[in-house]
Amino acid sequence: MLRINNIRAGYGNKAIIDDISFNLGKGDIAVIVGRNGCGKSTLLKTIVRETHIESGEIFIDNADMQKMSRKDIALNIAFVEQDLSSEIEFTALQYTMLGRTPHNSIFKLNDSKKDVEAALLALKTTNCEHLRDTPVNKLSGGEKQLVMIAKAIAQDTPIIILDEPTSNLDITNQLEIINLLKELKNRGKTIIAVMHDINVAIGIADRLIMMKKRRIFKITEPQDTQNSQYLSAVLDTEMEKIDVENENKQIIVAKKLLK
Amino acid sequence: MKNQTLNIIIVTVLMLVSILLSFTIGENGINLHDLLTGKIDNESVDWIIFKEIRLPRVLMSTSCGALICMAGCIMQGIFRNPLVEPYTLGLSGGAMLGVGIAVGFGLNEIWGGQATTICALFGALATALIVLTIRKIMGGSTTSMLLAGVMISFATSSISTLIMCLSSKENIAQITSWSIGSFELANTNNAFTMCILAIIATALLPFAGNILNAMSIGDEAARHIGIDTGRAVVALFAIASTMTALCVSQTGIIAFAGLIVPQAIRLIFAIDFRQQIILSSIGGAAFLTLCDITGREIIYPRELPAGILSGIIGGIVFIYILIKQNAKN
Repeated sequence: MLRINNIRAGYGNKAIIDDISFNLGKGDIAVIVGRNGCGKSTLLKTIVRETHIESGEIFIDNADMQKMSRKDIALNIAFVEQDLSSEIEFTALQYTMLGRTPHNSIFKLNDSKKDVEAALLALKTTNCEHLRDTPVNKLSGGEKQLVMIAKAIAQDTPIIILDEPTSNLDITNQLEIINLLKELKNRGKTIIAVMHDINVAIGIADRLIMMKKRRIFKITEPQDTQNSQYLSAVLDTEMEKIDVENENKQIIVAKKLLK
Repeated sequence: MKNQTLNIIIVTVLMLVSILLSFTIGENGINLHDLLTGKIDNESVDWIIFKEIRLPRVLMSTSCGALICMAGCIMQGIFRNPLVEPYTLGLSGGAMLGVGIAVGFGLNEIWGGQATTICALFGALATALIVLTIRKIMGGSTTSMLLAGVMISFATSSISTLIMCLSSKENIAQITSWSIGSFELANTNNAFTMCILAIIATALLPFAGNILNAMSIGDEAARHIGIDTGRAVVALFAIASTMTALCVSQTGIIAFAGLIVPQAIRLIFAIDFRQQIILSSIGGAAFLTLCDITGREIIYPRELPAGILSGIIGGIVFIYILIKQNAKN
């Protein structure tokens, strides 16, 4: 599905990330973790060609992403930004409909019934159907995040990228987003997300991509018994694994700074 | 869909009323009933006034209104700022400098009237290039772009004055009249050409509304849904600059019309750019025709150019939007 080989990329002539390689299959969830400034967001932006790729290759189903048009990339990858900003006061439905843009010719003056239905279905999937006529600028943080994901669902792409989808959300909204990502995985979507909450990441990921100093430090599975050691090194913080009482589950907590 | 049609009908009625008023109001106003029932003889004074003065004037005010307001609407969409329009970005000033060069150096006498249009076009496109370059250097800042627009307007105005100083008395009068937009001297051929161009632009540009809708959520977000924003900005800005140059070469500078009308349309009727562009075109035609009628009557027997009225109203609206924007931030 997605193959990244030896990518070195950045802005202008300055490389921000280097030596990045990993593969993802259909229905995989990869969560990228690491300290602020380690290149997580740059990696996400590189996958949608928002940075200058100095060397390396990105393939989507054997098609070279660097040779694709903007429209072709948008037909394969939907990107959920950190914040929802809109100069005009779209309603949640109008905003979600924007996800249909790559599927349509620009020579149309009215939204087709098919596009409206796709957007409504996407809003229903994210439990935001009741917000369809609410201006997006009046939504709460959690609702905005859900509507942004609805736009990505309406875009109907095999890959969805999310940049910190659970940041600044309360626990209820976080759980709602996590359940939604699991639902999308079950539908066969490949998901790549940046997250800061290690336990949320371990809870949903098939693959943890740990980044340090703008390179991949380690790619592990959530069950890996050495995750706390790897994370200690990545986050420069001593991390400890703790058993959850009465549940066959462990969580990782930060103990103290290493530097 | 129902609302969209209703909105278009309302604004079209407003435009038609303004056109009819323009034919009938004022000294030597035409009696429409007589005109439509064929009571006006083809060789009568009334017919000549209608054909040679009133009709070209109305066609020019509606066409320029449509073109300049669509240009304003597109620019506001590209740069996501309600204060952006051909005048505030200095494009009108750039086009005016082109006109000044054509008239001042007698190019229109050598190559005919097209020289004015071509020079205005070069002036507007050169300004557009400068504005886009400044925007790129400033990392996409619209505030810097607006400041650059004001500076460009000052600079082009100073150079136009310099050209006037070097010109003959006749040319000075001509350049001065161009710096204040007016439809008084509209000629039939040019008015019909402008009208055809305005109709073509109104038929085609609403499709660009799909791109502007996508760009309203930010350049990067628009690219994520398949819009090549770099190319879109250059292409749409070039189209808007060309429309500005056409208007300035025919009537002179019409300040702020491209700001007032699209903002009023957005406030009253529609936020979707596909409709905003259509409604800005029809609404712009109505607005400048009403400015022209008012200008003809307000200090009668003298005439106040439509560009001055538009500038006064627009200046007030500009300050209002600026205060509103500051309060919002």
